[in-house]
Amino acid sequence: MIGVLDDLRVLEVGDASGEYAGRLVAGFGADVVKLEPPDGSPSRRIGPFYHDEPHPDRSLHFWHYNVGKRAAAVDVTHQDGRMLLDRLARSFDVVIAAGAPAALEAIGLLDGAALRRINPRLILLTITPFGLDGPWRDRPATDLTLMALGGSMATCGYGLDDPPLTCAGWQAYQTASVYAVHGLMGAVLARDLHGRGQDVEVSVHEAAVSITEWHVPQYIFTGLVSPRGVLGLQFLSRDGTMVSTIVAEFLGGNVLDRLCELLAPDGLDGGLCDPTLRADRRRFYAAMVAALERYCALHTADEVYRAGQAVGFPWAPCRTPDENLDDQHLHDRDFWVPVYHPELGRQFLYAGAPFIAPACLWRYTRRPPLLGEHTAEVLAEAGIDTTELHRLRAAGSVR
Amino acid sequence: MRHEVKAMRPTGPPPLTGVRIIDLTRLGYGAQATALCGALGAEVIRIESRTRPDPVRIMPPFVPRAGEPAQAEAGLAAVWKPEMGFNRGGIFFKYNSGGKRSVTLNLKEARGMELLRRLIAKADVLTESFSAGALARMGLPWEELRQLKPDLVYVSMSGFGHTGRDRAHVTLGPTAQALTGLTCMLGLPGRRPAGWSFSYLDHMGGYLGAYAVLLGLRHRNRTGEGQHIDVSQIEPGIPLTGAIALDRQANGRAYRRADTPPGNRSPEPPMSPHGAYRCAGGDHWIAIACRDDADWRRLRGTMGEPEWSRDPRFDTVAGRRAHEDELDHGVETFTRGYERYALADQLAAAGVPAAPVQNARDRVECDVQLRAGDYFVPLPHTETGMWPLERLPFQLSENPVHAGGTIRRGPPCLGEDTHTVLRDLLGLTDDEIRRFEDAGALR
Repeated sequence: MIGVLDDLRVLEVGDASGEYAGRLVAGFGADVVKLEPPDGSPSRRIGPFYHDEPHPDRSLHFWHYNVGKRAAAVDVTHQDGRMLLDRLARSFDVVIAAGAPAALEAIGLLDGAALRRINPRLILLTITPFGLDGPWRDRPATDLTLMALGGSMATCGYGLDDPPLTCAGWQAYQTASVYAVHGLMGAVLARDLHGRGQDVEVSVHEAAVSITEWHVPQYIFTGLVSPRGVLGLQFLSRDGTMVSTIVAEFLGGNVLDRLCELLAPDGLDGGLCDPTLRADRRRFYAAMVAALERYCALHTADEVYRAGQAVGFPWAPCRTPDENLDDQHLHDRDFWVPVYHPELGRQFLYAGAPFIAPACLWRYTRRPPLLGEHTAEVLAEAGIDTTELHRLRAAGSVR
Repeated sequence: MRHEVKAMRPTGPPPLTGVRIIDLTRLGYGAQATALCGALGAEVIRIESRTRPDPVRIMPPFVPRAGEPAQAEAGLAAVWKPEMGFNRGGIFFKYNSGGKRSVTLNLKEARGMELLRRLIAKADVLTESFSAGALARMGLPWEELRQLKPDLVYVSMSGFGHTGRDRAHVTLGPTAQALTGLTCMLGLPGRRPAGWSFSYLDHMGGYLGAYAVLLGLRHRNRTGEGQHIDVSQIEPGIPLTGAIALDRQANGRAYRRADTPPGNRSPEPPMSPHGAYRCAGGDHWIAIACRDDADWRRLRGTMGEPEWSRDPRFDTVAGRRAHEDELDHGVETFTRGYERYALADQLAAAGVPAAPVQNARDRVECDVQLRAGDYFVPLPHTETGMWPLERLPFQLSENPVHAGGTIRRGPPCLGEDTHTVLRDLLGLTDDEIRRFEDAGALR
């Protein structure tokens, strides 16, 4: 079996907005080399840390986004480093350049045409806050400000008395990274045919704008704006976990019938199976919601989840992410991938394949890279000999 | 510095030129995947039913017909009526652009299934978003599909995947978000989770489904081998929760605790201020993120160095984090006096990441960046006319992507391409098509 992307050498440069893209292609076999500053990528300084000890090789955040990659530490702001970056770009298939346009421009990563004069097959993938043009191009931005502009925050939260909220984590960056992979795959499939590389330009802003389902169409079609508040229904289970769902017509009459059966043993089905009540949508849903609320109060979240799913009702407990480490279904699907960290003498389970492709297996061949771990190896592959490497090290250009 | 838009003007064929997808997906998450493939240039042929139409076709908000007042239906509260037909569901427009075609087949009838088999034999990719095993029960298990087309890329997009203990379970976006942990990550500490106000995982699950199609095609191109790729709505969501699962393993720390979720605050990396602050006007807010002490000093300068802000406790990020309620109160006292866009301009000019919290109207009417980038693309819809639809957030310089696919059209009306596809793709004559129609196979 071959890795579906194992012929691709990907150089990843820049900030956190592109790290998830690199991880998604590394898992399917691409050789992703992360080019970092000599003191490490900023994401190495993001906690939590292993045993809560801050250290560039102990950032769990860094581990999550960089498992399966190699890493070389090169100071690209220095003239020697710039020269090395140019040399590397000659032998790579893809450069993922993430960050502010000015920062990328300063290291020569906005001019794909120039890079392709030396390496015509090169795909230059830029992930920038606002794209490479337009009035906001050079605005400073973070995931928070991009989620604010994107529209998620305006409607996420408890209501108008509380602030608009973003989701913890890096949802704008991750969304942009996934789109970046689509653009990258489009360019790779095209290159497989015509042999030429090209530029792929991703805007994190546009990515964050695109994920709010009906909100934009609703405004365009009706002029209405969605209010801020919780989507669907939440019920508190006996053991204190929230259970989340939507009760709606599109679930189908069968599912609603079987929900009534589910409620019967607790005596909560009273009247719900009555066709006259069912005919009155508003009263029926109100009665159903009240019955489900009482049902959840009588049972644990897990009981509620299993019993509801057994009758085809799409609800689930609001788990925390770590609780999924114990999920039997995910283990049945080999979702969690053990990765051994020899320096620590132990292995960790990492989130694995985003889907199961039997002919294109997902694998991590290596734990997340230590700072500078592959500098010598990567530079040697680019034709830098040991003498030159020593000189660069002594000058502080590489680590 | 102001950059005028130099939109890429790619001149080649789209990346997925020549790729044909027979598409049995419904609702949001499945359809999102194939809309993306359509925008990348694939020919996407939706197989639909007139007797059991995609629920999204009859879900509010509804698209007004040409000449009707735009406020005619009351957004999500509107109720579908039969006389509205199957072509005006507004969410359908979001998930089914990309120049998809629509063919109606009655898959409860043998002759409808016969046509589906003949279409699959001409396809590169088959996509579906039924519950696990449903397509097999309809007579098309993978073993059968590969007989029809030996190198077929078959991408199933079910709630929990086709294997594993819970494969019969079903999801909607909010269900998947609850299970993955994404719901618990959105809210204020000490409160129940607020969760996402829309189905984030209908988008992200769909995007990973599109990645599955793209990888499957590349593998086929390189090896001649097809495969069944099993996509669930859960697994694409779990990695989006970051390092939390590693934290439990490394440090024994569970996420369910008093200080989670962090609201808009950023304990890691420590950034402060980091939140949404009320501005002048109605429900108007500005998001401000000070990445470091320098950003804080810039913000302080923009605020005019008020007395409270010069408190040495606020000089370091640790100090600001430790007194964040006080800090946020002070910042909001300042922001309340300002119009959000003007203040964002001012802060951005000072180098502080800041942005108005935009709702849907703001994105369409006020976002100068989207406007300059032609983010909204007018596309024709056969029944209701031209509408601005959202394009993909990426562009390629040589091989173009387009929200209207290769046919530059908005989402298809139900069955509007049945005749054309059966004639052009299967080579059926008008008489033959009529016989299928009379036999009830095209409903």
